Amino acid sequence: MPEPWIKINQLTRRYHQKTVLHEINLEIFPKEVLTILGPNGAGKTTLLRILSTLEKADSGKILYNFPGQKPLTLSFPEKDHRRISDPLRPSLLYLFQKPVVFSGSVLDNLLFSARFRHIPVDRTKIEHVLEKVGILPLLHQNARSLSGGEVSRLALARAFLIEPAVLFLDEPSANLDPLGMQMLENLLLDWIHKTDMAIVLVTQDLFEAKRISDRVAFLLNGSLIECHPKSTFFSHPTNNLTKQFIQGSLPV
Amino acid sequence: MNAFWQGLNEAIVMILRGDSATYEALFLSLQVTVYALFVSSVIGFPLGIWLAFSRFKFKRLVMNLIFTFMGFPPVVAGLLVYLMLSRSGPLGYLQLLFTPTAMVLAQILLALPVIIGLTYLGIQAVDTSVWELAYTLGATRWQAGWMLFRESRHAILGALITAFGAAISEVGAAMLVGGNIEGFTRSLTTSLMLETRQGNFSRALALGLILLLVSFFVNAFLVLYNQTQGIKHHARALD
Amino acid sequence: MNKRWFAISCAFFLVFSLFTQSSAAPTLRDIKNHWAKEYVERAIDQGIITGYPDGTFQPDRALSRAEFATILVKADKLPSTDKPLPFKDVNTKFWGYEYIQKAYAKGWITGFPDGTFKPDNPVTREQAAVILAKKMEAETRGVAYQLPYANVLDKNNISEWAFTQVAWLMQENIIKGTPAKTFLPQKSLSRAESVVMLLNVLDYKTPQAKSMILSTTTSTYDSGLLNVLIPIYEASNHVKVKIISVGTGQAIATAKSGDADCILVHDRPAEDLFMKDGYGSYRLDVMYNDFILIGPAKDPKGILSSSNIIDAFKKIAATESTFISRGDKSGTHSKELSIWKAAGIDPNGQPWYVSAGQGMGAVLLMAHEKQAYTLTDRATFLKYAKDKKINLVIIKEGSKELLNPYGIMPVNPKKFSHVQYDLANKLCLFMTGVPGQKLIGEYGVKDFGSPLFFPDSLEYKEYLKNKK
Repeated sequence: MPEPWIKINQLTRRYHQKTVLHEINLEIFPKEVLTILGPNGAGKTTLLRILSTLEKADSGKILYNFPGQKPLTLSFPEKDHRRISDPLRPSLLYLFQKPVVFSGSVLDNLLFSARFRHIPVDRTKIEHVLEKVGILPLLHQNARSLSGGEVSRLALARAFLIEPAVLFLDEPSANLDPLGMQMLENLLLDWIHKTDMAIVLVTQDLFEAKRISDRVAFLLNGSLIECHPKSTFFSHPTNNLTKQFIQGSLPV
Repeated sequence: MNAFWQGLNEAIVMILRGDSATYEALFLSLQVTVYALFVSSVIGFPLGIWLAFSRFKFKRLVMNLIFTFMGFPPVVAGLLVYLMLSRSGPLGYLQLLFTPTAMVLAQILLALPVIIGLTYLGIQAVDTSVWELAYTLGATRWQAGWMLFRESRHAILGALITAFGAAISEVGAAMLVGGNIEGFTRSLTTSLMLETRQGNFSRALALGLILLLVSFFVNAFLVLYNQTQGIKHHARALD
Repeated sequence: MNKRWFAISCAFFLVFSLFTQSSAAPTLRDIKNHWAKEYVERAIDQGIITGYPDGTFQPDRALSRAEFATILVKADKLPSTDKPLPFKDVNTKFWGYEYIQKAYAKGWITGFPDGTFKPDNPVTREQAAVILAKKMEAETRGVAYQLPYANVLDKNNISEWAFTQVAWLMQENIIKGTPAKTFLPQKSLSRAESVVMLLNVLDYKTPQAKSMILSTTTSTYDSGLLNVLIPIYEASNHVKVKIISVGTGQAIATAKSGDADCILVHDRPAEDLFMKDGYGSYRLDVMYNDFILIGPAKDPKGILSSSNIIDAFKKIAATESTFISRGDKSGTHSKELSIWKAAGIDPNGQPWYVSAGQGMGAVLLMAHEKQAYTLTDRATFLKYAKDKKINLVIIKEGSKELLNPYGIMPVNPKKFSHVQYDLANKLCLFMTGVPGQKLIGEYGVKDFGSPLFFPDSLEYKEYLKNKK
């Protein structure tokens, strides 16, 4: 068992007197797809945003240990967490649930991404990633005129350009049609196969979880109920609530 | 109505003939407003952006003040500047009263709140997820802020155009702090006032027409420039 | 051997002395200790004038008019002209014909009213002054002559046609009076004196223009009088006058805050207060115009039939005829209020009384639109009536209550050390001096048939008294 790249310890987040995340303990390993399942409002998005350093937590620790880098621990409450987590950013990428683009063309959007990450701009590389996600014909099109599915592919293209160590996907099936979803899954699996990348996927779609996960975690009302390898999770869940969720009979 | 058409006719003739006093006034108006807008933009745009992002104790009060000053009566602005620059006032030693510089200062007082306020509103109106997208892609906070600013380009342009129109067409402040001195501080608007006061309606109309034409061309330029900026960025990307 | 050396050294010295004398003229005998020695030598160097063949210069000898014209032309190296001379007593064979011709072509000399030039008459000092002023193309009418003439005891001897020119040349330090504090205008100009004057003219550099601020009322400015007077003052004194024309109240406030150097208004009580509070150095009467009551030609309520202005106001109130007031604390407004007071009427709040809060022109236009009555200064009314902008007539004029006197005051440098007192003082002196007053009295006659203002300064009144 390789060393975890991210180790989360007692992570807690409160928001407006409500506890959104309660003492989460979790590990993320390279070369795996970790799916976080749970109903709406479970805190899944918040967890991803905190892990990708977009937001801060109120207490707990996250240890980031990437190969070739100094290990970095974020101990919350952290006074200037954005500045401290700066060295981590090249390794982490969070893809939004709701598609977001910069105004300009598809090409412009990719160029911005490259510029922020100090990646040398290469026309062939850009065309390559766009072709991979299937939107090369849209190279010069105004990004704001793209459909939801096309924007999701653009976000994916950005990820391919940046090649982070950990990719956080927030409900990717929400905007993709089944064909797109299939393409995404193929690409992700192929990617993991070729590199050490870790993928943390958030979804409510059980079938999607069944298809591509290595491990599955169940999040409910801010608490991590359980986390097991896929087969174990679906065949022998330990918790009743998990059972109910899998059966679809969880009371809202 | 006859007097109006006659006036309009004379106005067109005057513009074409290139009357020197008129063109002097025209250049003064343009100079003063351009300087005032430049200073207001340099101070106002960053301030507006910063306010859109910042959170501090009296922010709501500050924003309320800025919005109030957006509708500042020009004469009051002029009066304030006059009292400051008067020989008996705190800045009298600068000897700026009755000079074009004083006119610039008064216009800055008018344009600055407009630019700050409209920039602030423009950025607020943009989805903050653009900032987050940039941040997740590795942008520094300033770069992310710039992306957000970029999205509100049109609102910013609106701010510039509004401020320009307000500054170049105001007359109360210009009259007070400039003094309407012939060949020195006589702008289009103060000339207009003088001609009207003296009953030279056709000439006043001509000046008004010129003022409108100037506004028209400046706004056309601003809009075109804004569009080409988008194309320029695109072109730069291809090499 | 010695004799040969002696001869060679003599020859050597002879040749040597010839060379050294090539440029410099030998010092003329009679100017060695003269007060104008350096000037004369310079003039000779520049080829403007020569000594006499007998080795003298005769510096104190009188210069003839022809000779004066000659040295002027020589100094400027003027090109030839073929403009014929109209003078009866100067024919083409005269030695100075060409020079006189050139001077005449340039407009420097005009001759006498009887068509003669009198070339051999000695040129008088005041004649020389006039010719030099012409040569310098100087505007001399705007000079504050009271200042240079303060030390000229015989200033009243200066002919009127040379009055401002002599003063201006004195102001610019081109000519001076005598140590006895006289000018001696009709005395013949000596050769030395002419050289000194001419060189001063050639050396003259126009001083850099300074600027001052004059605060005045809108009605004064709109009358156009200042557009005639001020450029003349500016040209004579190398000054740029910035004119701020606002309401009387604001004009006075501007001066009180030290933002103007000089103030010209027409509100005696306010002016007296200004002086009393120490804001003005002094106050001078300048001119007056009068107010007139104007109204619709039809005059439906028969205001025209009133016996005097106070009666007219009473009648307006009684018939509730629309009356437009300036309502802006201007001089006109104060005058109007004083008449209401004398009539024992308080028009405020009455439905027929319109308080406009604007300048005279705007009020006239309003009265025209409403065909109403209003009190206005004659100047503004004449100007507007001329361009047929308004269709109103004079209802009442001439009473002593309707006089509108103007006062001019320089702002007190003791109160504001930065004010341009020197320039303001000169402006006041010019406007109250005789040539300035005459200009004021002429203004408007050509365009409107009658003058718009009546010169009223103390100095001018003295001048008229002495003329009689």
